[in-house]
Amino acid sequence: MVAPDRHKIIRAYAARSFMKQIRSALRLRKDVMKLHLRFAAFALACAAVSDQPTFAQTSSELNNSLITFSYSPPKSAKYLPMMDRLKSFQILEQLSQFLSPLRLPHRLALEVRECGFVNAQFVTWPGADPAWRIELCYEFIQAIERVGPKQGEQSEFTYEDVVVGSVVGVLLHEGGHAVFNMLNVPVFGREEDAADEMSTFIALQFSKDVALTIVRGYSYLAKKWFAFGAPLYSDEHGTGLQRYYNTLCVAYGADPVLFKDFVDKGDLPKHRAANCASEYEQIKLAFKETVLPFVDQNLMKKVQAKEWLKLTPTQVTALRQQQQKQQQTFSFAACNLSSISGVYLALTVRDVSDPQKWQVHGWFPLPDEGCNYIGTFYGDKLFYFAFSGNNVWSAPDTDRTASKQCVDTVHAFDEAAGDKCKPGQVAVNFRRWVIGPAETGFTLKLHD
Amino acid sequence: MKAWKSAAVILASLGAAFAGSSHAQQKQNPTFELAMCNLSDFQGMFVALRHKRDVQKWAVDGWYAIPDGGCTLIGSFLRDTIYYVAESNDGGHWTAADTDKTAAEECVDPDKTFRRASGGSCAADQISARFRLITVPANLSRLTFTLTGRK
Repeated sequence: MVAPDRHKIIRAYAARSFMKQIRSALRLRKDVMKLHLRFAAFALACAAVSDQPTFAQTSSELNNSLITFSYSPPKSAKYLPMMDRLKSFQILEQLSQFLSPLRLPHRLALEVRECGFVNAQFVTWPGADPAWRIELCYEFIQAIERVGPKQGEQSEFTYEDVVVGSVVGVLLHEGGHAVFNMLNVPVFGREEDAADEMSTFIALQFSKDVALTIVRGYSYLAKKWFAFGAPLYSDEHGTGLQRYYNTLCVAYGADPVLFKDFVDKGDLPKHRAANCASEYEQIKLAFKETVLPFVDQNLMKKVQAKEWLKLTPTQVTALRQQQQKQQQTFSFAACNLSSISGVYLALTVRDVSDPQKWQVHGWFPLPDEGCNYIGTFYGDKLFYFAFSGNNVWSAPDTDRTASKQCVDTVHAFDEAAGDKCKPGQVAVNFRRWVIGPAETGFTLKLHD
Repeated sequence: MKAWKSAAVILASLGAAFAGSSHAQQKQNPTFELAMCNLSDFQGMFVALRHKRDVQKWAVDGWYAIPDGGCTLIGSFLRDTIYYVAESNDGGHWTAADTDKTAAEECVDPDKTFRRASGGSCAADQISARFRLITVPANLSRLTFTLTGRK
C-alpha cells in the first residue's frame, strides 16, 4: 500500500497539478448525468493555462468564428482509436456547424477529451480561452458504445441509431446548458429538464430522419442507461424514465404522425400523449421568446437545408465493428475494506468459457484493506458470499434476489450451481449484484 | 455483515492461493498479470509503468486509467519486477521519494499517451518522474496492486 508523496514531487508535476486543481475547482459544470454544480470563482480568472489543446474551426460556409473545437489526445492508449474514429466522423465539425447560427456573446469551445470519469458536460472555466466549453469524454462514448444493442440482441433500434443519435442528443443537451448560460435565459423548473427539452426541440427542427435518429437514440439512452438502478429523486436531473417519457412526449407533440409508433406500441402512455402537443408548443414559445432573437435566420435556413447524420458505408462498417467488440462480459474485483482480516469470497457466476452454466467457485482470498482482481465473467450479474471466521457477508433469508448455493467450508471448491450439498458442504445465501449497462467491470467492496 | 453461526471453518490449507480452476497458478510462467485498484480519496487516476521488454531492456508506457474506487486489469508483463508512477486529476501523485534507492527515473509525457524505451533524455513534451518498484512474488500469476492515500 502506498500513499501519495504530495510534498516530494518534482516542480513540473507540481505546477501542472496546480493547474489541474484550478481546472477542477473553477468549473461551472452542467453535466448530462451527474450532480455536480460548481460555481466559478471569479478571483482566479487570471490563472494562465499552459496545457490547453489547440482549437480549430470549420472552413465551410456554416462557420461561426466564436465556436472552436478540439480532439484532445487521450492519456490512455486505449482511446486513440476512438479519437481517430470521432475525427473521421467529424463529430465536432458537425456540431460546430449545427450551432453556427447562434449569435453568442462569448467564444465557445467544443472538446473531446479523456476526463477520468464518464460524462459529457458544459463547463465554464475562468482563465481558459475559451472559458465556455462543452466537453465530451472518451469514457462517455465508450459507455454509449457499451450500452447500445449487442450483436444478435432483439431490439427495435439499430446500433448506429443508438450511438449516433444518443451522442448528438447528449451534445445538444449540453448545447442547451451553454445557450442558457451564455444568453442568460431564465429557466423555470430544473435546468436539466429544460436542457433535455432543448435537445429534443432542436432535433425536431430538422429532417424527419434526423429527428428520428436523435429522439430514438436519446430516449434509448435514458431508458436503458439513465434508468438503471434505484431512482435518485434528489438529483437535479429527472429520473431516467422521466427523461425517457419527456423526450417521447416532446417528439410526439411536435409530430404525432412521425412518432405515432411511440403511442401505438405503448411506449408513451395515451394519458400523457394527449397533452404532448401543448407541451411542445410551450417549449416552442419559450425558444421563440428567449433564444430565437439570437439566431441568425439566414444561416439557420442553410443549416436546416443541409443533410445531417447520414453515415457513409465506411462509417456504418466502423460502428458495426465496434458493436462486435461489445461483449456480454464484465471484469470483477473484490476489496476487503472492513476491520476484519482473513476474508474469503465465493462467487456464483457464469464463466466466459461456458456461459450457459452457473458455477460456484471458492475461495478467493481478499487481502486485508486491499483488493483481489478475480477475473472476467459472462452476463450482467453475479452472486457473492464472503466470510472470515464467524463473520459472513450474505443475503438475508427474506432477499428474493438471493441465490442459495452450497459451499465447502474447509476446502477450495468448484461446483455447478444448484447441486445438492455434498458432505462437508453447507447451503448459504449468496447476495446478488447486477452490473450497470454501461459498466465493463465491477469492484465489490466489503465493509463492516 | 453478520455473524456466521455454522461450524468453524478452516482454510489454512488454501494459503494465499486462488481457488477455482480458471484461476490456478502457473509458477513457471515468465509473465504475470497486473491489476491495479484505486482505493484512495483521489479521483481520475492514471498510472504509467516501467516494465521489462526482454531480459535486458525496459520499456516505459502510459497511461492506464484506474477507475475511482475500483480495479482494472492492466495487462501481462515479464516478471519479477515492475515500476509505476501514478497521478490523479485532483492533484494526487504516487512517485518514489528522492531517498528511495530502488526507484527508477524515467521520462513520461504528462498529458497524453506515450510509449518509449527506458533511459535517454526527455523529449520536449516530457518530464522526468521517479518510478516506484513493485516486486512480484514468485508464486503469483496475477498481482493486484492497490493505490491508497487520503486527501
